[in-house]
Amino acid sequence: MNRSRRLSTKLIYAFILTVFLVWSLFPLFWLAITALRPNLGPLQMGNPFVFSPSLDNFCSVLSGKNLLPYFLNSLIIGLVATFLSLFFGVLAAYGLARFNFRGRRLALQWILSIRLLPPIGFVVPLFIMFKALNMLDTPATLIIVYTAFLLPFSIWMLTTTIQEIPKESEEAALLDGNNHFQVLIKIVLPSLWPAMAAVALLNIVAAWNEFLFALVFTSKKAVTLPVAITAFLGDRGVYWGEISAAALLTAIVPVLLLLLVHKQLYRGFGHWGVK
Amino acid sequence: MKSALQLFLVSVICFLTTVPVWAEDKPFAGTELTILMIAGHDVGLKTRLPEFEQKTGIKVNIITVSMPDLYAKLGTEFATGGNSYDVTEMMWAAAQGYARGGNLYELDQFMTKYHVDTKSYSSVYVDNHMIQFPQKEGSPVICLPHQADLQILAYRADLFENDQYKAEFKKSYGYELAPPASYPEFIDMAKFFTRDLNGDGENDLFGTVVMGKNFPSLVGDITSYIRGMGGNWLDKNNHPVIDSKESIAGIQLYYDLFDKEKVTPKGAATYSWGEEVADFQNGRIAMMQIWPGAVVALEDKQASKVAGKIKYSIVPGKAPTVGGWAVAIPKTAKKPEASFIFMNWLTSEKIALSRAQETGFSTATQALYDDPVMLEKFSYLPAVKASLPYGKGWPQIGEFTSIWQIGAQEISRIFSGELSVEESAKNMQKQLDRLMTDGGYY
Amino acid sequence: MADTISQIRAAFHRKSYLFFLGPSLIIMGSLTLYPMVYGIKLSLTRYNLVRPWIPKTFVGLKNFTDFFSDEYLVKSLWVTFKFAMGTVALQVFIGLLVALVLHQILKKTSLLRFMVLLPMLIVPVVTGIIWRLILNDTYGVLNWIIQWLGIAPQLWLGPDLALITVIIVETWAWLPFSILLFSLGLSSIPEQYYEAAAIDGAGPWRTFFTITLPNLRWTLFIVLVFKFSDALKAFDTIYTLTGGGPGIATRALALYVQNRGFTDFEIGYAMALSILVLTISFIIIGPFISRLDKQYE
Repeated sequence: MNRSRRLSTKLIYAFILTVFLVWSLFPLFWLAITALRPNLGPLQMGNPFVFSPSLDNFCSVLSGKNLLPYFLNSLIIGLVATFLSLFFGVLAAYGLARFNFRGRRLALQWILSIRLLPPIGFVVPLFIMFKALNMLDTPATLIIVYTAFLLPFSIWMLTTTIQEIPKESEEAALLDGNNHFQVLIKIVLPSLWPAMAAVALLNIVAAWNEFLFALVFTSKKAVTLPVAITAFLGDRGVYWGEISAAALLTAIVPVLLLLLVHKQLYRGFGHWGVK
Repeated sequence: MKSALQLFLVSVICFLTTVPVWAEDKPFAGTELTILMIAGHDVGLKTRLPEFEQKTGIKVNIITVSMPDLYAKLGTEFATGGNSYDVTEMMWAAAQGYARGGNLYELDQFMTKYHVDTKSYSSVYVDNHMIQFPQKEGSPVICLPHQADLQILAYRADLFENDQYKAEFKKSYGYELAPPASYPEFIDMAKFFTRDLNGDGENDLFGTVVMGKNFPSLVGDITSYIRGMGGNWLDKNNHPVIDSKESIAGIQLYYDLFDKEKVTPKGAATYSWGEEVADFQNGRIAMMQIWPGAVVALEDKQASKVAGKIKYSIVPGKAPTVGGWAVAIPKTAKKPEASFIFMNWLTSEKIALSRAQETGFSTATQALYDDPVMLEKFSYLPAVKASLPYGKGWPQIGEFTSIWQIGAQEISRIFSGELSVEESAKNMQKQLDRLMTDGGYY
Repeated sequence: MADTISQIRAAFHRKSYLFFLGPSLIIMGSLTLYPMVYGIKLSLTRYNLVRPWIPKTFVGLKNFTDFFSDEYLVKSLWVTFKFAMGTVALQVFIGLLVALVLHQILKKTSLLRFMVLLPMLIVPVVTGIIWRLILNDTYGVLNWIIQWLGIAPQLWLGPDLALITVIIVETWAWLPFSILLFSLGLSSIPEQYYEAAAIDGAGPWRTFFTITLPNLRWTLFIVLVFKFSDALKAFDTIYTLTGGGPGIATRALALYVQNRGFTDFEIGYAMALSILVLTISFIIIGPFISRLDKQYE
């Protein structure tokens, strides 16, 4: 009885997972198929699975445009902005989670409001501001902008995580004469890694793929990959194959980073002990 | 060892003697230009730029973006007085708007200094004073033509010249099957060709195709129909006339092709360029109104099943829409003369023609339409040449992006079944009226 | 003397939150205070970015009172409402379900866990494009497959289905976000809780409602707050997939703001709309915030 019930539960799990994985991965599979289709074009009658694959689209993406400078821009901007948003995010989250001060709730709300405003409302004022500062078309500008707009999520996510961690050992450490900074490093950080890995991942994906600010604030020197890719959207239709190839190539860095942090994501949990 | 020394001395002498000449010839040596272009419009430049850069000493960086992005960029740029670009591409109507806003450099002094002959450009842009602002005789020149676009009709010669179809058509309709000369003929032929070829009970060949997606491409397509029926967006004095009897007839005609006559694929209500071109490439369409820019895709032997079987003619309503792109210098450009030297080189007959010959990119030089190499390679050119005298531009005002927006929005609502043609026209008239009143046109 | 020092130290201790919070507030403040003030100022003007022949004029609250006569705004609010409800509900429900299943049957790190996160890594602009290919009514692989299964092909982006399709595609793109957060939340629930529940003889449903869900409430709030705000701002996928069409059937608020701001270039009105988006967000999300706050004060 118990065994057959366990089996049926497993079957249900397997079914849910299979359906989900097909739905989730098929479009990616199709993206790869589209990129591998020779310039015959993906919109053809008949069986869409039958075609002779070629790397033409990848070649034309890599040879047609020198994507390297855009790639380097994206990489530097993405990594630095992610690092900064994480670094300052951890500090702020600790401040918000472990101190009770006047205006704390207001600060939390204000931080969230930055995330709530549609970016389109920011673009023009920010453009005017950066122009006055003579900072347009520099990687630094995008780094600052991304850091600022990634911080709200980082802070909120990390604040709630820190609050989940039992306070007792921190209080003990404080009584032992450690200052708050030491407590943060020694006691809080070890429990925070998984959440930080998740935030880092989500932040770098957001920074890596951001389009609107990158489009408006750059013109030549600081252009990032997503902006360069849309050049494959011609004025007379879409170069389906090439844009798919470009999208796959662009995704390489986030995929590598995901591989890198993936181990961190689910590690070290459960050792917060019982509250 | 000795010969190496000789070689060294000779090269030093050569270098020393060439430097002064070089300096005189290249007053802008060392200048760097940033050019903003639409994606795909930089074809054939990569190989030709080194020569220009060597000759003038000017370094050219070309930045390409997609069309909606270009306006977002230029909008912020001009509004805040940015100076990121030395030359920028734009649509003709946009050039008029930006010039009205005082954002473009007047080119007359350079035109004289560098002896630019405007006769070398596609006549439709020069004759209609589209390169000038205000758009009339004697106004200053503000932009030069880069890419020429004029809507033509692509039709399947293998269908139109098939004896069996010809006989069948004559029997049913009482006249010869030939490229349609009017919209009633167009509808007859579209109905005639809409059929089920493989006998599975579903039509798989359609007379024509329309685009119902809420996108600027819809307005680009329907305008020739509206004007072909005698209507328009605005009249000569910039009063909106989209709810006139004629304009409504044009919109109705476009929608009827989809709804009443059913001579287009069922999905056309959601089509934009990509889907339309794909349908034609797959041989599902008998006639289609296109921009010459799409010809490359239709005639691409690998991608298109009907490549080599297509002929081209003037659109049935004989009011083809003129599109195309101009290049202009922003007022804030740092070295306008260097910018102009580049622009002049880019639009010169020699470069324009050789780029077109190599890539099929329809540059805006009149020589294109008479060049034997071009005529042999690109069968659509005679149709474009025949259409040139009938060509009509967009409303040449800075509000044109809003007109697109309003048009695409309201007409696509007919295709989604939300509005009737009359309601849609009334909506557009109301919004255009407000737009033009705001703009201070009357 | 020693007393004063310890007082000073205590005061310093109390104020040291400034050291932690300061840098972030400075970064965010320097970037947002000016734009916010400027944006509010703009929202009180009639200002067209590309048509300098329309004078920039102060119009008071006219942009805001214009909301009431803007039928397009009403339509896009309705679209946004349905879109937000649909995407948030799906992302929470499916995200939680998948995270639970993964948690039940998988090791901490496995290929599957890695794979479910992949859709998030594709540039959003391309997400719309690839789905347009899949959903194309004539050539799309989806219609090919369902025809092969003997079902009639559908107009996925046609008037009847477009909004549902858009909701599903948006959900597809952002499920990794909720799966990731729920997975994190699940693995932070101490095993002992479940062991205790098992000893008490609690069934799977009771365990879920008495242990799993209460312990996931932070995660749930975070997902709700951020997914709601993202839904109200959703732009890329809809723009490339349907362009807001057919007609204006999928034109959500952010697309409408973009239309007014970067097609009409009516930046004053677009700013007023942005403020409206912010206000609506606060109205919807406000209860979650205060709930979160009550929990930890």
